[in-house]
Amino acid sequence: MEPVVVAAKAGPIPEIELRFEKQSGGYFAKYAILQFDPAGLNPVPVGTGLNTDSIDDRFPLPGPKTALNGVLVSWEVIVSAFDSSSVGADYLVRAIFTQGGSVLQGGDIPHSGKLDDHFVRFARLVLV
Amino acid sequence: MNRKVALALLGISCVFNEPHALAQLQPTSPISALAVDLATPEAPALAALDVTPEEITRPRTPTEFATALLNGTDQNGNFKTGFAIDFAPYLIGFGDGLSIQAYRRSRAAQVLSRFHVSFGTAKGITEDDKSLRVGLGFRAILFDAGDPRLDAKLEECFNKQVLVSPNVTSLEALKKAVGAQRLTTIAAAEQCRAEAQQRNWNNSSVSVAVAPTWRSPTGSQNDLQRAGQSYWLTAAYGFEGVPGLEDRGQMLFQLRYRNDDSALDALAPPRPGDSLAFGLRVGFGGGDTNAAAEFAYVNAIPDDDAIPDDNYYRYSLIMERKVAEGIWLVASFGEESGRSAIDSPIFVLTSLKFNLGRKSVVK
Repeated sequence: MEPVVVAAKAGPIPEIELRFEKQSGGYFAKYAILQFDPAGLNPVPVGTGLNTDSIDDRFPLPGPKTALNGVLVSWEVIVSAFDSSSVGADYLVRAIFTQGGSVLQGGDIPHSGKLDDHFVRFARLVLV
Repeated sequence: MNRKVALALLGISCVFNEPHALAQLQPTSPISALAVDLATPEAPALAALDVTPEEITRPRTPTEFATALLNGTDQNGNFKTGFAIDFAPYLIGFGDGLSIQAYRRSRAAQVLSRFHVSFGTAKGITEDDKSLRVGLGFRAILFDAGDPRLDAKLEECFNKQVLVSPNVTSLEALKKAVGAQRLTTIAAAEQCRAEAQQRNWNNSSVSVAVAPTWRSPTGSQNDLQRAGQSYWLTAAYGFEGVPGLEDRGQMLFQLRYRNDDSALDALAPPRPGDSLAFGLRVGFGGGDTNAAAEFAYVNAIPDDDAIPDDNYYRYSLIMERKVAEGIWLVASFGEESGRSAIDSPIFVLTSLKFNLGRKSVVK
């Protein structure tokens, strides 16, 4: 069962942000976020990026808002240690879903592991 | 003063994994005993103790650090034989909040992240030797042009890793594709780091280290007494921006001072005192064939003022050829000379051997 993120129908467009934590001076991360329809098909790009640049890693989900109920949002991330001695160190990547600046119910989804790694996580968005 | 001169080649020996000829001169050869290792040791505490533990614990989190300390002592709080730990206190305390952007912006964060503390113990385990030696080391890399976190080419290589999301048509396909791609991605990261290491091995850097030591003849912590202190300063120049040498040449300079140098105690006869060592190496390599020229100078300063200082030097030329992965054919030629107080031969050392270690002796 995938994590469920609950957003308000009446609120603004929800956003997803990736936060890269436990960096201990730095690991490289590269990611891509997709939005699928409720059946897990018809992917729409939400955003891509790196943790090393100064560009925000936060993206609004593709609207219209009325079509967001039940959609599946995935984030695929590659994390790589800059230094060989950091291979095996812990990393933590959080996906934070917000609406109007507030974190949504079920909207803080952490993923931890050991460097290097390549993973995908996803969550279902429900509008109430 | 009795000086002998060995005028010619002492012979070429082809050996597998045998100790270097220099090592066979210990402990009566002062140069061997005081040989200058041309790099600031990664764990100065252990270098000061002249021990090579099988395992150095390198904790990266407060929990790992606490666990390592617990594992380093017995139930009575006494240090275990050969316990060794090396850690970066800034990263343990604040590493979780240090992003790569913050690291790149702050020189202070870079220096603090590269500041390491090492701690080691060596305990005698026989009836004749129950002594306990304890070393504490501090090492700071003040400047490092080869820092992988600042390496734009390494980041560029990482950025070529392939995300599968743009090419999938369903979530199920995405999950399967990532699972299939994961090991390839990890291997690509390893390849990027290997290429960066090949590119950056000779980059300029400056590091300093200090390591006080203590000794307890009885092995009891209560009897620990100061037993000297070692200082290192190492500077490397990587010929950055010099065509032809930028990726292949390195000049390495080291200054080391040992207060109460235990190596002098090991000489025959023992001559307790301090030592000052200077070393210079020029190396060219980076490929399958490497060469290096080394010069080392040691000034031993006996505690007894009636005994004059001894000055020794050693130079050597080393050439190596990689014959297979992890196997190097190494030819070396060197000369060392001469104590003023006791038998002081000039040695001509020549050897041809296979080095079965993974790393080049030049890099």
